[in-house]
Amino acid sequence: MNTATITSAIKLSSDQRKKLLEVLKKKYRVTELEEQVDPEILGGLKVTIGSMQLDLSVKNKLEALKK
Amino acid sequence: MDIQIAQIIFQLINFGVVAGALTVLLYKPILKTLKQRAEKIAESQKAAEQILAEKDELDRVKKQELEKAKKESVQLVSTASKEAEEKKSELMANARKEVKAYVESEKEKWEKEKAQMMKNFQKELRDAVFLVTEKVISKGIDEKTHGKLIDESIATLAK
Repeated sequence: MNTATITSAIKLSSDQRKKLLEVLKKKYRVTELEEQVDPEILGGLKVTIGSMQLDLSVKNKLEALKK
Repeated sequence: MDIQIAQIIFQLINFGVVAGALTVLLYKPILKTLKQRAEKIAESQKAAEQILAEKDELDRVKKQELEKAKKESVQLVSTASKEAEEKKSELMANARKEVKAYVESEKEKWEKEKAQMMKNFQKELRDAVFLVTEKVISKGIDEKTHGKLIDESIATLAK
């Protein structure tokens, strides 16, 4: 069983959850999602699968702009 | 008047004895003394001439030495002046070099400090701008926009 931890600024809708699971299953063989809400990321998503992290949050984009 | 030959002879002998005695006892010593005195005077004169000659020679040497000393002193002063001038030039050149190096070092230091200050200022400004942006975004994004951002993220993941 491969679990992905999803962090978002607001709770995902069921449609978004479904789409996301489909994408992650296809690309990373993820079978389950674990959701977290963190307003600090400002928007977008942060996906953690094991030791791999895909940061697509607005906060991360702003940080990248800072550099 | 009778001429008494014996008396005359006697007188002549008497005169001869006296003259001989005077010659031996007085004339010769006086002559000898005079001769000695003349010799002494001549020697003294010769010595005086020699002394005068020596004095002239000494004067000449003295004058020569004085001129030599004068020349040497002039040369010494000239050399000393030249050396002092060279030393002065060298000191001035060194001082100028040191001042220039100091000014350049200070300028470089100041440029570095200025650049660092600018860098710090830019970083602080950037941080402040991003802080404000974050605040604005956190308060300004509505649920619809959040949904859109999440959809975009899912689309990015799908690529």
